[in-house]
Amino acid sequence: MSESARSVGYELSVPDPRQEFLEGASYGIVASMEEKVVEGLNLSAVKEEYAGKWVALSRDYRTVIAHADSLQTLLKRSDAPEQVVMQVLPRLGYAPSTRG
Amino acid sequence: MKFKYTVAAGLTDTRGKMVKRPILELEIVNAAGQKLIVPAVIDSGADTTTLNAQYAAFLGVDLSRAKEREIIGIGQNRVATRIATFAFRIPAIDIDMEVPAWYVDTKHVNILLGQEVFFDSFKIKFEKDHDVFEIVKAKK
Repeated sequence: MSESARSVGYELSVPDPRQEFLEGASYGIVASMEEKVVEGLNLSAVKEEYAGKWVALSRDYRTVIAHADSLQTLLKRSDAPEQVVMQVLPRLGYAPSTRG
Repeated sequence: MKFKYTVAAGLTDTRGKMVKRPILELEIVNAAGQKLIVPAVIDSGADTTTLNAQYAAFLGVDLSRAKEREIIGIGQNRVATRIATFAFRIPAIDIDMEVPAWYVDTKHVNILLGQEVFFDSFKIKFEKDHDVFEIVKAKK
């Protein structure tokens, strides 16, 4: 993993080229053996108790730094230079269809 | 660049498997230089990028005089949004961009990257069969 990748909390991994070949074979695509894949985010620290609230997380997503009912209040409670911020949604399925 | 889907912690599908979503990290910066990292769902079902109205205050986007528009899909009824722009950076691919956006006052939306401009700007491939989505700058 590169230092820059580590510093932003991303995990980089190189897929097994044999697996990529097998997966790609069914639709005629052979993935590059050099290609890197950015790991998904680890949102396990965002517990259900925060649903409906705003949370600030450490850059590696492992620690909830602060939570609040509004983004404005949250940023008063946490001004870390590198923080992840999000509105926490209820743990419900999601089926969007936005037609204006 | 390829990205793994993100597990929606604690949420299972009808088969009891963890729900996974195509989430991309963005950076947003306000006029004072304050930077936030914000996760955004790539949402091919959204016509336009839709985000929580509370981001507007951070970004210095004045919604009071912004044009209003109603949408459906994020609540039981029509929901009022304010139309403005949303500027962000995608650090993983080192791209800055600005898209038209609907700012909505709800607890049910964080950031959804929708079709308008965003999907026009990238070749986006959802490869859920092996847990990966890919974003490549479109050649125009």
